[in-house]
Amino acid sequence: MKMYARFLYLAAGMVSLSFTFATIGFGFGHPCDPSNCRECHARVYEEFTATGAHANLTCGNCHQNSDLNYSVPISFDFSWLHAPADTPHSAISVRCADCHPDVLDELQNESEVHRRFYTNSRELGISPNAACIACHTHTDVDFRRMRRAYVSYNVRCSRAGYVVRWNESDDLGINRTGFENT
Amino acid sequence: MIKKSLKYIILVLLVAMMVVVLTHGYLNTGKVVKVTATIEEVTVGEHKIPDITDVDAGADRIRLISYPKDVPPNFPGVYVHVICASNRIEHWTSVPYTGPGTYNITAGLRFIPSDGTKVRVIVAVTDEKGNRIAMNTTDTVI
Repeated sequence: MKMYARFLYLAAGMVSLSFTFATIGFGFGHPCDPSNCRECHARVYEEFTATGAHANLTCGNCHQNSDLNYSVPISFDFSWLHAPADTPHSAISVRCADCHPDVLDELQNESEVHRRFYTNSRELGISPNAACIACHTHTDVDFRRMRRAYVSYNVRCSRAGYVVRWNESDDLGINRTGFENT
Repeated sequence: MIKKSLKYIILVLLVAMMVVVLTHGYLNTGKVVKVTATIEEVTVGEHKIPDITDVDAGADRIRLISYPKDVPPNFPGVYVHVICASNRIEHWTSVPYTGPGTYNITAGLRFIPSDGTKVRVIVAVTDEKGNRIAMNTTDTVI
């Protein structure tokens, strides 16, 4: 009977505590520990925490970690590395323009100085965030300079001289470099 | 005897704490942003891509006991972002994208702006790799 009473006390206590802690949270959040991110993205971490307007933000403010179960510095659990290759890692991000929509408005202006860089970057398949970060960072970023595989021109020669125009569409076989003598 | 009484007191305190917390969660409410997004699909080349044709958002209140917080990401998914003063203020909120239709999404807020604050609500559809493939926004006062 005594054992039974002890068990009852223990069970009631544990249930009460569990309910209390679970309810105080009113639904669990998934806090992102920036020190985990720092393990692989040290320079980005240092820049964000030390300088600039985003110093008060953490990684989780802009990136949602898609794999919340690993904790590198604490458990040294690298099991997430064995995740299928198609498992995105922090793939969900807000865009710079989400919080700074005025910049997108400015880029609509023909005379805006960054418009050409931004639109050309987008045409080359560079993500909107990478186009912004290309300049707005002090750390190396994954921004690959790309060029077209084939470039063709139309050259027109007249008494006034040569006029060289770049073919906007330069797929090989469709727009070859041409020469016109007038 | 004292030991036994102590056990009773602790148990009663724990149960009382649980009752207080549960009551607090049931009786009090928190502000959320409720979003209704209409998504259609348009054909581009050989592919069909989602097009968010309409976004309707407004403030509501929900019991703290069921207040929505961060949910794991969905791939593909429909995401809601609430931007206030150049800051994302919502808990990560998304539902699986299952094709064209109307999506009702409730986003909990990490920071509660004062009543009457204008916020920007962004609804985005991401593909299975997390790339944003559709987006629409609306402004609302919460």
